[in-house]
Parts: sequence; C-alpha cells; structure tokens
Amino acid sequence: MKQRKTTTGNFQISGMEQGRIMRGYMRTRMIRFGNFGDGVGAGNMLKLALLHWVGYPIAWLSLRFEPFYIRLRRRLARLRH
Amino acid sequence: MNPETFYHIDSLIRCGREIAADKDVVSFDLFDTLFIRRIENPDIVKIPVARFIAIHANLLDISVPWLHVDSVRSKYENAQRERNGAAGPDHEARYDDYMQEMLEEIFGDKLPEGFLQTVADYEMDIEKSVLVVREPFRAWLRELHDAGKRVFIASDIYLPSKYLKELVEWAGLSPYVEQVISSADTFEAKASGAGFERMERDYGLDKSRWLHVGDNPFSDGLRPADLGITALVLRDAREKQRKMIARDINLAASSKVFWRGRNLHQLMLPLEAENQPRDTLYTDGYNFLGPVVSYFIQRVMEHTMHRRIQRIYFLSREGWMFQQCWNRIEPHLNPVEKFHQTSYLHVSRVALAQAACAIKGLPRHYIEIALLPAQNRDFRDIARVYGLDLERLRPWLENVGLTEESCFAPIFDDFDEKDSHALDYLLAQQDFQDEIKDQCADANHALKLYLEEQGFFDQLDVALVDVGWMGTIQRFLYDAVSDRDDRPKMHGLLMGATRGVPFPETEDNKIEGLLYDANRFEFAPSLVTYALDLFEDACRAPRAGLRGYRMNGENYELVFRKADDAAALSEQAQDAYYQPLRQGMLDAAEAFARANSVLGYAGFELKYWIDFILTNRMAFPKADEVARLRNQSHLDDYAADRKPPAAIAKRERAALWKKSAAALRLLPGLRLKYYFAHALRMLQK
Repeated sequence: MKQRKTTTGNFQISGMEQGRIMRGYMRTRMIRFGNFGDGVGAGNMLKLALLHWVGYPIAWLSLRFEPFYIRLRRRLARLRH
Repeated sequence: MNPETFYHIDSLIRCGREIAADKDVVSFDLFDTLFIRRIENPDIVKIPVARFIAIHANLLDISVPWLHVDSVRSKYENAQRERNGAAGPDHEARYDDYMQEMLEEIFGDKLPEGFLQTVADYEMDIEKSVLVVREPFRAWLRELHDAGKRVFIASDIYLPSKYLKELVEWAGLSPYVEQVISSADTFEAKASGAGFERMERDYGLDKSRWLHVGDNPFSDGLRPADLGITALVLRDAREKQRKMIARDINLAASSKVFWRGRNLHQLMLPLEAENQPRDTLYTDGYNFLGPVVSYFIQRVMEHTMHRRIQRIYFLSREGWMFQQCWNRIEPHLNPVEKFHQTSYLHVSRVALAQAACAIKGLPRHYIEIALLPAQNRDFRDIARVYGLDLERLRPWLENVGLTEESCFAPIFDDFDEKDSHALDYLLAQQDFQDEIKDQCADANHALKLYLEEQGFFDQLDVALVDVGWMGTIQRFLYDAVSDRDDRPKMHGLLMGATRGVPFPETEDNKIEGLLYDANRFEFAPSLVTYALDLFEDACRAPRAGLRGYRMNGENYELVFRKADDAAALSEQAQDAYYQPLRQGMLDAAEAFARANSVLGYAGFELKYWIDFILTNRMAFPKADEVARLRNQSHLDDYAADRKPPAAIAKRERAALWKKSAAALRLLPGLRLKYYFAHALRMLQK
C-alpha cells in the first residue's frame, strides 16, 4: 500500500478535499434527498475554496504588507482627526 | 538595530543558525512560535473550562451557566490587568490569582478544597489538546543545546511559569531549555521590554550575545532590538493560511450547523510531526470510518446519559472497536463524573441462537431467521444455525415425510410448499420442541452463568451496543434469559438498524439505530446499506468468533471458532489487511474526543457533516477507494458454504461496491444511477 504524507495534509482532509466538498455540495443542491441540502451556505463554501486554493499568496501578501497597511491606517486616522 | 522578519520557518532557522554561532544565549517565544495552536482563537480553550466549572457547580446545587462563569473569569482577569497596568509597565495578569477570585465568587463557602488545582489541571489538558510543537524548532533547540548555548523560553501570558514548564515538559522540550519564564510571575512582560531586562539581571545575560526568536513584530521584534538584542521574527505565511481556514470554518460553524462537523474534523487534523507518511487505508480509517464510529459512540454516550443507563455491554465482535473508541472518547467528553460501567460481552448469533432454543424451542420465526441468508435452504442449515444434533432429530423429520435436504427457502428452485407445511406440522409437536429444548439446555445454562459473572442480572437497565443490523443477537439474548424475572431492560443501541426482519419490541427489549434506523426516513445515513460488510469487517475484533457456550463440570466455557480452518485463515488475512484502517479509526477516535472536548458539540450538531461524509464516501466513492476498502473475504457463520441462487447472486454482484474498478472509473453516471435507485427505494418504503 502506498505510503503518503497526507494523513490529511495540514489543512486538507485527505479524501475529502475542498474540491470534493464543492462537488458534494453541488450534488446536494441538485438532489434534495440528503439531510444537508440546506444550511451549508454557498458563500462559506466559495470562501473556503478560495482560502484552500489561493490562500497562501493571500496570507503572504497580507503579512508582507502588514507594516505598510498599519502605517497607512495610522496616517488615515491622523488625517481624519 | 532592526529585527529581521521571515515568512517561512525554514528560512528563519537557516539564518538563525548562522547568527546563533556567534551568540551564547538564544531565547524563544512559546505560543505561536515553538508551539502552534490547532485553533485560531486561543480564547476558545476558556469555554470548555467554563463548562467544566459550571458542571461542578451544578453538582453542588449551584445553578450557574457556563457563560456566566466565563464572564466572571474575564471580569477578574481584566481587573487584575488594570491594577497591574497602573502599578507597573505591563498590563499582566496571573491565572492562579484571578481564577481563585472567580471560584470564590461562584462557589462561595461551597468551594471544594484544592479545586483551583483541579481546574488548572483540566485547563492544562485542554491546552495540550490544542497545542502542537513545531518540529523544525524542536530540532533546532536540540542543536543549540548540543552546541552548549543557553536556551530560554519567554512568554507574555497569564499562565505562571509552573504551567508553562508543564507544557514544555509534555512537549519533550525541557531537556534543551535552561529556564521557562512567564510574565505572569513578575508582571514584567516582553511587550514593554521589562521582561528582557529582568532576564538579563536574573540570569546574567549579555545583550550583545543574545538572539531572540518570536512571532510578534513588536514584543519579539522591535522591543528586544531596541535593547540591543538580535531579534528574528517569524511571520509564517503557511501557518497564517491554515489559521485563516480554521477561522473561517469556525465562523461558518457558528451560523451553519453543517460546518460544525467540518470544524471538528479540522481540529482533528494532524499537524507538524503528527503528520507522518501513512498507509492510505490508515487515512481512510482516520478521515472516514473513524469520525463515523466516533460520532456513533458520542451518540451512545448521550443516549445512555439521557436515559440514566449506567451499564453498557459492547457485543462481540464489532463491539471491540466500539469499546476501544469509547475508552478513548468518554474520558474527554465526560471529564467530571464517571457515570458509565462498560464491559465487552462475548456473544454471537449462532451461540445465542442455541441458548435461546432452550427456552423457546424452535418457533416458526426462528426458521425464517435461519433461512435469511440466500445460501441457506434446508434443515441442515437450520440445525447448524441453532447448534442442533441432526442425528437425534432425523426420526422426527422422517415421521413427517421430510429429509435433511428438504428445501424450505422459496428462493430455491426445488422449494416445495408441501415441505413447508410438513415443517409447520413438525414444529407444532410438543415432543419435538421438548427435544430441541433438551439439546440446547446445556448452552443456556452456560450462557446464564457467564452473564451472572458479568453482572448482567444485577442491573435494571443495560445498553447493548452493536453494529447492527436486525437486532438478531439481542432477540436471541432476550429469548435466552426470558425465563428469568431478574433480567434487565435491554436497550439495543445499534450503529445501523436495517430491520430486515421486524424486531419484536417490548417495554423491556428495544433496539434503536443511532446512525441509521430504517424506522426513520433519513436518506444520507441509509447509504450505509451500500456496503454493510465494510462497517462489520472494519469494526470486528481481530480474534476468532464465538461458536457457543457449554458447561464444563460446574463451570461455563466459551467455545470459539477454530483458528486454523480455511475460513478462519481468510478472516485473519482480512484482519491483517484492515489493520492500518483500524489503527486509523482508533487514532481518529482520540483526535475526535480531543477536538470535541474543546468545541463541545452535541451529537446532533455533527450529524450533518457525518451525513455528508457518508454521501461522499458511500454513494460517490472514488474507484480507488472502493478497491481499497472493499473487503476481501467476509465470514458469516450464519450462511452455508454454498452458492446462492443465480438471480440472488446476480443481484448481489450488481451493487455499486461490487462493481469493478474499470466500471467505477469509466461508466459515466454510474454513481448517480445508483443514488437515484436508492432514493426511489427509500421513497417507496
């Protein structure tokens, strides 16, 4: 049997990755027999998909430009006063 | 001097190694540097602690909701921070001080002695369930220690250093660390720089020979840099991504119940060194069957607590897995009072069927149960199932014109209704029934001795936990002890109740499916019926099944199946194949309990995610998953070793989980077809 370091990646549930969750979600919208057809929230689903797939560059950019962002916020706050 | 910032742990350690070569002292921040938290918001750990205190208070007749406990805690913590902020450079608080004040307010003169320590121990347990040590830092710490550097850990936190030392010890870092320093001890924190100055004084450190590593750009970066300490700041983008996901799932979970199970599953995920290369079957156990079984165990726990059923028997052999999971889950989810007593009961359909015949004889519905497997057809199968001596029964059969090969199962071509009527006539004869009872009396006596030893008759109510499916084991158990007035009320808690044969429910003998029950219309849970054998074989104890009970002198004896025949050997091969799967399930149970002790979700809140897992994994599995998880052999003592009629065999082969990998991979719409067909069947019921 294959040995892989994906018991579950660090934040992807192996065998239940975000793509599969999305497909499952679409299925539940299509077939309303399940007990979970409602109350999932397409917004949550899409936002999480975004974070899983392109979350790393978003996180890197937000950290890299954090000092700039903080300075900008301070400057704007000063201007408002 | 400006602190240097890194966006990946490896690049920080590479640079840190070069700098540390010229330094004598290296200090580390603890939280979010050496340790990461599985949760995004550290304050989440306060909630289970508040619940823990509220339950204790309720036991002492002090009615207080956990939300109130949490707000009182915040009140005293903030008050102490304000006081210390006015008196010194930092707004620090000390756990022991404000928690003692909080407990005194809540409990008054009912405060148990040493209760603060009990609460602190519990909070430490909860902290440990959400903390993971960062593996690259552990390796670097070891290197630094081996190179003779003085290593310190310094944290700005409300926990005094004795608690931090406990965490460091638990994480296996203490051999490399000279001292663990907490701002709660002195109220001098890194944030103002006073913490660094105190360290310099107390341990005689030289700032120019000192490297500090942390995650906070201010207290771990600018402050030490201002004081002349070389500072490295870790702003880990990968870690930030993980936390963003954890935060978003947690946010979604607060409004949509579906995400609660996903949130719990997120907390279960192994991080850092926990995430080892594993067999793919282990992964299936950890991510699919483990959460499903753990959810079932939580439901068993809630159900028995609600009905105040103290004694739980896990029925062999699937009960083995359930009991193992119970032992891992129950202490975490029920930390306050030890309510349940559990045992593993050696039973099997065949063993109990024989014992039941001693009381009930051989009623017609027993014949129907024996003929349920499509392989069973004649009296040889009936005799095998009920452990009857065919030689001694032959004269009775011949008297009514039957032979041991007369077919009683209508699914076979040679079924003759006259034989069925002859069998009815035979069953109506009292001396035949007396012979049956006589043959089975020994097994019944042995069973009762075994049950007495297990304390079965000392209870008013017992829960019998089994995988499923029709409650046959419980039916036979109830019949076997139905002559005893001191028999307890039996509450059968099944993982799935398919109810292929109606269960004769009475006030003192009931079954209920907690994951799936055919009596309720629940579409997603009904998908377990796609591959019932999978659940049976995955949960089965890796040891031979029980054949019967018999007397050995004055004592009872459990008779197990032979371990060396062809069927037993193929079962052992199946056990060996499923071993990683079972290990994954057991590890998942531990992680499930740890995660839910923090989140505190009730079973019904997790149901939606479990439904989703079942739909994805049972009705829409990947071809590889089916190939991997499909059992190689399934031993059924009940079924004869003969082929079922062709039509039945064809129908069995047509199931989705029996399809070839090529069919599963290539046929478009195959899963949808089965899904709709299943839905149609469910709607027709």
